Amino acid sequence: MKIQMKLNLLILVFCFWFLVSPIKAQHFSSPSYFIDWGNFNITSGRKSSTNYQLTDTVGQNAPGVSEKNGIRVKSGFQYIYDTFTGLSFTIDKLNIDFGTLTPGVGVTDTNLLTVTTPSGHGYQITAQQNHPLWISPSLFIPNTACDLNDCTASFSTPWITTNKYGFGFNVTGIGATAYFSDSTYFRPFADLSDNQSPVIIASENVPVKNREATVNYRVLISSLQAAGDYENYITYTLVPKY
Amino acid sequence: MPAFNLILKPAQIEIILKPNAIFTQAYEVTNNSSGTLLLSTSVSPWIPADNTGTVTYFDDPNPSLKFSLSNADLKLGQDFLLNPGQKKQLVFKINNPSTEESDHYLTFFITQKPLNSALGGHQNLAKIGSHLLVSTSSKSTLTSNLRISKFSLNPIIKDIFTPLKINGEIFNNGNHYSHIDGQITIYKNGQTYWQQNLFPYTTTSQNSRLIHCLNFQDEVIPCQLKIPLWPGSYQGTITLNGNVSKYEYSFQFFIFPYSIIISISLLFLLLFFLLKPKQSISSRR
Repeated sequence: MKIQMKLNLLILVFCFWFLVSPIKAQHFSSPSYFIDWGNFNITSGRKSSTNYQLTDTVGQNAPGVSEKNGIRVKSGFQYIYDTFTGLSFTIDKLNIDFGTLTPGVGVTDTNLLTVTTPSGHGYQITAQQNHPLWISPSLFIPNTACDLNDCTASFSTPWITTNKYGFGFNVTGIGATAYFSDSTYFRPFADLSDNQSPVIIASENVPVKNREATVNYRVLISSLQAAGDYENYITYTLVPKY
Repeated sequence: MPAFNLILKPAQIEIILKPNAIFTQAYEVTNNSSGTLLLSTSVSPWIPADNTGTVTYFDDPNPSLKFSLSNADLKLGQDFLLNPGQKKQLVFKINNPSTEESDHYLTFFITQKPLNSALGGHQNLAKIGSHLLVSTSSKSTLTSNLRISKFSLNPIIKDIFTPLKINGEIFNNGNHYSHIDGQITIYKNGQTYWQQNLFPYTTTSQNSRLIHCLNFQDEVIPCQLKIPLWPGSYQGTITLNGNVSKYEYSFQFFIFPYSIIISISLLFLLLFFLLKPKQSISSRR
């Protein structure tokens, strides 16, 4: 029995010494601490010149992109930069004050929307008003129908005349060209009080960094418009393209 | 500083959720605005609106997945304040109580609310959302079933000095969302002439995405062959590497030096008409 045990022990020792391959990891030690690393990153970072950009990892075991069965592994510190960028949405101001309105004179104001999206994602911005500009539901400035009474919350047409009253908006910027042909094209906001869903006012299919879209509000009233404080609010929603 | 500046990370997550499984995701929301923001969280379902990744929201009063926040001080839908420069981690939890095999496309929203109730009637507001693509299944790996549809090469007349654009859509005929994983290869005389990886868009079930290519900076670019193109016959293959089988779509086209031939013909015609009257004048003399 003892011989059997000794033999087993001998086989174990043999296996340990000769069959187990050594792990080539990094080992650091001091009187108080041991640090064992699977790999030793010498340097990593982001470098650039006029024409080139480089992100690198030196010392990483098996760096690079590996993919199998739809699962992608990005091994190496340089891939961390992809995760740094979140979805960012900026609005320059939240209060739009048209001041005192004069009948027949269009008054404008602007909002600057700025978007940054992470790698691989475009964006869409939708807008919706809670209700028309109103003092009360019976005292309101109508949503614009534009010059030919043909624009809707999802269709822009020119609005330049001074005898078509209402409240509307236009958006300028790279992401808005599909929705507003130029700065004379306007449309009313999608109206929550009329059960209208938010409508896309700017979108792009590619990732963007600090992409700006300028919302140009316009309000034009007739001389019959009752005096008072007309209010509403617009909700802007930013989501990435999936 | 802007009145509203919010950053939400990550912008999208994609998961497979087994029956009775719970998934937890930490979202990081950062307020870079000039003032404190009053915010709230919510989840809305969406459907794909087109082939470019646009989404349309709808109401689902009885969602089959259950959502909650695991934060000790916050529930889903509860208002919270975020000071300028402050970051907050929102630990979002999804529970799949059903055994149904299906896909759920959702957005986790952070919604701004009026901080001052007096401003509530006229202060513009903002929402920012992160997409959740959830496949509920008892399997760990889901079979992808992507196919090429609406393939075309532009322009129709393929000249050596006209860039050739490869257009098309990739349709997901499967029951679950899938990533595009593949490449376009163009062969000439049996040798690889041009190869580009396809951009790995997520394609939702029974929906399609436009074909785009991926450059070396991991950016989306059109799939386009640069000029000049050598005249002759070309063969092309779009390969989609499914997790079970590989799908290949083959096509071919012919490049002809139309512009050179037309230019030479016009030159000859010009010379012909220039020389012809002189000959007739000289013959009269």
